[in-house]
Amino acid sequence: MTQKTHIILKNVDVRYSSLAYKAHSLKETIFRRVARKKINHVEITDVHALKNISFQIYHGERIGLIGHNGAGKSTLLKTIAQVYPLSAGSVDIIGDVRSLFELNLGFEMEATGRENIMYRGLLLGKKPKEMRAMIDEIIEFAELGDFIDYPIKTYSAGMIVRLAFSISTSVSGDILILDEVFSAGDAKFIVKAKKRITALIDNAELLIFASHEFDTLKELCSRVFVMHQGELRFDGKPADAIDFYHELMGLSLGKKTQTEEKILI
Amino acid sequence: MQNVQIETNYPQYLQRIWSARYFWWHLALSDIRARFRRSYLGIAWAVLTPLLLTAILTLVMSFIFKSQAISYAPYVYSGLIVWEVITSSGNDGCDAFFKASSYIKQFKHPMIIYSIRTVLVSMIYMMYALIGLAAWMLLKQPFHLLVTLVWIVPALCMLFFIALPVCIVCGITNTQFRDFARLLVLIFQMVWYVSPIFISDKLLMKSKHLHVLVTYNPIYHLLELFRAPILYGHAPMIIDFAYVIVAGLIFWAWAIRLLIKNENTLIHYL
Repeated sequence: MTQKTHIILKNVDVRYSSLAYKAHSLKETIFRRVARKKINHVEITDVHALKNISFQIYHGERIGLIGHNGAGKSTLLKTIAQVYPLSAGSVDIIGDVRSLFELNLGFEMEATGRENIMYRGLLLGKKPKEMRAMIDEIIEFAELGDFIDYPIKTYSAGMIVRLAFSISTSVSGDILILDEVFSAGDAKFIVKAKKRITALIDNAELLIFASHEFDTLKELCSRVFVMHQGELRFDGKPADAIDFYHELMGLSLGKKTQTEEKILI
Repeated sequence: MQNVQIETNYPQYLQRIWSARYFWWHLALSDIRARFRRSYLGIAWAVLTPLLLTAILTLVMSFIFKSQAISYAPYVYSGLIVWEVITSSGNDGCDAFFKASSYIKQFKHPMIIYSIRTVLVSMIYMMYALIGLAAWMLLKQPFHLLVTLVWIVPALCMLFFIALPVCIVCGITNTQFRDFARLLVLIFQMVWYVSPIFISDKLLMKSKHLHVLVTYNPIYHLLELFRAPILYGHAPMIIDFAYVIVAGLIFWAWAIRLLIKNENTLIHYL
């Protein structure tokens, strides 16, 4: 049982069912069943969010993820966290996944910070006893002071980020997934957060995070993926990946900026 | 160390529900707390609401049917609190997955735990309401209290057994078809009027045609599981259990079918 932490994706496809986006009512469904052929032509097609993604990540690696908005970064992260179902392919994961997605989500707004530490810890599979043992340390790292006994709805965005980050990184897991966390905290906290993530990596954990901050990526990652239109377009060294990404940006934005310039002149 | 695969493996599914037990249990407690945050009377409303409703119904019904208010009141109260578990499992169940969407989008737990949470909340609430009946028994029929102590646990288990699949069915259906919640209110309203919840079962039994609303009504048998020990001081009948189990199994079959089909894809609707 000394299998090491890994994530292996093979030819993964993720589609969002179009059914979920259509104005959906009982009336419509019944009507469609009754008159199947007539209504078919208004079909909205499925969103093909991830296309044929394959990669292997082994323990100790720190993966950065870059791409435009809507390139499939968050979908990929959520697929690894097994939150989204696969349409095709396979995901093989060994290790406990700790994820930190949309930061303001996953809190009970009416409950206090202290209560929420408990809920979130339990969400991540911890026992109440284990959470009670680490609660002080989480509060200290989040620097919330007396606010910890106030309802979450009174918190500022920065405070919520700090609390969420503190919990997710305190609850030990083998695989840490972060989605754009560094864009939210203040400068001082970001420094502290980076330090903590580096410490996590030193414990031979596996990290995957999406970010737009190239400096952070260069600093932390051993490998960077570039996502574009649901495809994995580049997999390699951080510096090369960022160059590739800029090239990609240049290609897709170049024409636009030229025309914009003309208009401006 | 575990190998996580998206599976439809039942023992593993049950095991995952079990290992998430602290999570859903705490969520249920949190819901109870949230309901009475900054409320002056707090959890006392669990007793007060059905009590006041009982007072109104008893007053009206004893005028119309000239029934004895004393024996009628606990009958109505017991009917109300059990029925409330079913309706809130259905109605709140409709929103169970929406309400939990932030958790569902963060971490993969079995979907069913959010239905369990919803049913637990209404059952905990109902157990508080039972205090009202316990007080009545203590004053009027101390012997019933002993019988109830024996039979209340199986009765509560049966209630959970039928409320949970109702909650799952409503939750999945409403997540996909948002009109369902409106329809459900009407369905419950209809069942409420044709079931012996506040209408006297003895009155219905006397009727030539309406007695079917009692004899073949699973709601009646479910209520009997509670009423027999609490009101009449005897054990519920086997037929009562049989009706509830059969009705429960039908709902379970429906719920499991929906779960198998939608467990993984439900997230797209949230």
